[in-house]
Amino acid sequence: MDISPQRACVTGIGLITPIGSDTGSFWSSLLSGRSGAAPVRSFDTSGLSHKIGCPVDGFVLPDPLKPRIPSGRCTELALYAVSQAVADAQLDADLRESPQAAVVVGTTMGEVTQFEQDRAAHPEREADDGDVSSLAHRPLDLMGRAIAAMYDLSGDVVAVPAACAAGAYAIGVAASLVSRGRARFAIAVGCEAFSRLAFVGFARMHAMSADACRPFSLNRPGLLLGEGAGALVIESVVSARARGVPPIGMVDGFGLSCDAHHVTGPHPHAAGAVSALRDALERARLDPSRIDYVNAHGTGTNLNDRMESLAIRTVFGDRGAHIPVSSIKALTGHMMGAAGAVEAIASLLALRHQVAPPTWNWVGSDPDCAIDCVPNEPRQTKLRHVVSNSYAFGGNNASLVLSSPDS
Amino acid sequence: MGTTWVLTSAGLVTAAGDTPADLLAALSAGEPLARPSRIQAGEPGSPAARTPTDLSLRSAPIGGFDPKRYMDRKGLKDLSRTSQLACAAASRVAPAISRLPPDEVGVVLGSAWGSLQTVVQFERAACTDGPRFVDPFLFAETVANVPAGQISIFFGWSAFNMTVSSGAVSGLSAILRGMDLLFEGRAELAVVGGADELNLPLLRTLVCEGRPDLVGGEAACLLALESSDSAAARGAAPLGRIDGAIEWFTADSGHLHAAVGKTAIFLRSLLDQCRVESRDIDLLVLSGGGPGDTGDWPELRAAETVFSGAALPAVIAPERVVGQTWGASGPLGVVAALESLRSRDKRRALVLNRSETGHLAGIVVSRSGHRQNGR
Repeated sequence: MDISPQRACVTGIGLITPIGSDTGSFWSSLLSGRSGAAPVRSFDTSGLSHKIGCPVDGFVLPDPLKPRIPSGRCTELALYAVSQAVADAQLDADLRESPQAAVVVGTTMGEVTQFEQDRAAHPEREADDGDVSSLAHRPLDLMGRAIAAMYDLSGDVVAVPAACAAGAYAIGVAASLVSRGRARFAIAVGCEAFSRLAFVGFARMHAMSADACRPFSLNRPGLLLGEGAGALVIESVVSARARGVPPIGMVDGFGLSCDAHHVTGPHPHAAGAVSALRDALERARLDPSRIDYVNAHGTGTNLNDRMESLAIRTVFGDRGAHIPVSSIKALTGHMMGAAGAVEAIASLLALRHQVAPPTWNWVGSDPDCAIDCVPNEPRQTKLRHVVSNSYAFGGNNASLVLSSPDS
Repeated sequence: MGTTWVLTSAGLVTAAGDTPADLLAALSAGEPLARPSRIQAGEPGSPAARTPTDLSLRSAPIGGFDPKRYMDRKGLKDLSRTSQLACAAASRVAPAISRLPPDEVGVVLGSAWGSLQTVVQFERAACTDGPRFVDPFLFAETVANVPAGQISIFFGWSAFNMTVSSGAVSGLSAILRGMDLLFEGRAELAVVGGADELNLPLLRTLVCEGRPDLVGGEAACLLALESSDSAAARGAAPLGRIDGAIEWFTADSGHLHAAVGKTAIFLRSLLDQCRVESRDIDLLVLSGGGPGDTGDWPELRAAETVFSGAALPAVIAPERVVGQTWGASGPLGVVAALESLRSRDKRRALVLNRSETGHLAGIVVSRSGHRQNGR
């Protein structure tokens, strides 16, 4: 990734999550340990062994933000987060003058929730299992088109359905478009709505916890699913300076790799995660010793957390046991397509406040996770460069290096 | 000096065959491969269908497709059809790049719908058998990036793996993303293209709701993309060179004349980027059904506008023969163009893809070895 003068920076952030629908309440929850875990009510869980998730309760999209095209909950979550990010970046007026902004959206399941809801609302159609009209009107690029329509944008609209790494992919692609001068502004979004499909799927994979998510902890029971959206306005430092808008942080590295190993299981030797992390550091032109904090993918499953700990120990060497690492999924659940974007925002907030948010619900050391996971207590520390990791089905790995504006 | 991008290998699976020559022969014959299609008893959509099942749907499925013909790998039957098609096409690219270290090869796959049929199957199984009896492997195959992931798993290509989705433009969009990722130095070579399976219930929905002329198709088409330096270093003979490629999104106003205007501006921008005039284009590959197809009227009118000073070059439209193949349609257009340039001693082709949802993508390719004569 090119460094200045086309260095990409973040000038606006917005989110909606199970633990907060603005960056202030979200950050407060991360520090206080307020969990989003709650019984799932959006679909019938009576036939399921698991009944707990991290939904965004009571979400209603304000009328002015209602999309102009048929959509669903995933799109609405995305629009809500984008409206915050655009306001935060003081971009409304600039977009009206110059609508050449790119939109890059990452998601896992898109609007599959609408498909499920339509079928549940019309049980007489249950037999018609070929009824795909909900999805026919809501393909995976819908969210990006709805965002572009909201602001009458005419730049690239890119959908990167990279499953649970999609939010990080969206940020990386958006930063690349800005760095290369292909877009003055890029809105990167990760979004996901709670779906029965994913809930049942992860339950059947025996990857879900029945109560709490305990990343990196001994006897961790698995993940909780969540939903939400995170949005970031990305532009060049030169553009931000010209607009007089202070950067929140820099997107200095976007590392990519593929495990090429197994469709759902991580590489046992963390080869792909190590490769993505090193790629991000090289692109940021930073030695591993310069990284002050890692926001982990940290799903709370045995396989992921063991693999990610190994990757961190491998890349950071002796420091790997001591560098602060935390997973916010203990509170937010796994927001899948939204996770990478929301976790990047958590990383930017960590840089802003100079605090590493903790890994909540941690109950004891697992020898397979011999890292400092900042258990249960926020930690004040000097942060200049941080990493945010995201991993996904298909072996998709992404690591972002984010830096403080004065770095 | 900018990087010169070349295409050095192609793999495809279509209703017209699985070689570039098969495809071009079918396009040259011009005979649509589509046949009347009914949703059969036992297939999704057959019982108590809300929408009429006696619609005269037309589609061009890949008859008798068996992924084992392409790969001797375990587990192929468990993959979604989109994954199977994508892996089969990749198997035709793999031999030509087998000497490259797998960590120097990345994958970008475009798909409009992912594995939609598997999503429906999973939902049906959860409803009818109960969630505790759903096959967890089926869940993985519902996820849109898994077909691309399966390609990497089968062939070991690990530099990067990305899926992009922008309707019928997805495949060309994947080529553009591949160029970006290679430009950033992430790999020596990218396997780029698209894949989508035929889904008759989806076709039925789209036909019922405003696209009566739509002919369903399915295909996968992948290309080996690399810099000319990379190809030369490993002694690979390019099939063709990419002179330029762009992608736009323009929110659809619903007015055909506006769509024609935007598409014409897009075409001119593409020619400008390539530094060629419209008279330098010998072949146009349009995504639509060609003249007379009202659904693709804006594409043809835009081309006529841009080429007004010169005779409209030869036009081919793969969709007319193999149906709407969504993510595969743009890459199939590129393969057809390269094969046509090679076999007919032509110089340069422009491939245009347009989706009804406002995505536009275009690419200009030249026959390998042809002297660049742009302005």
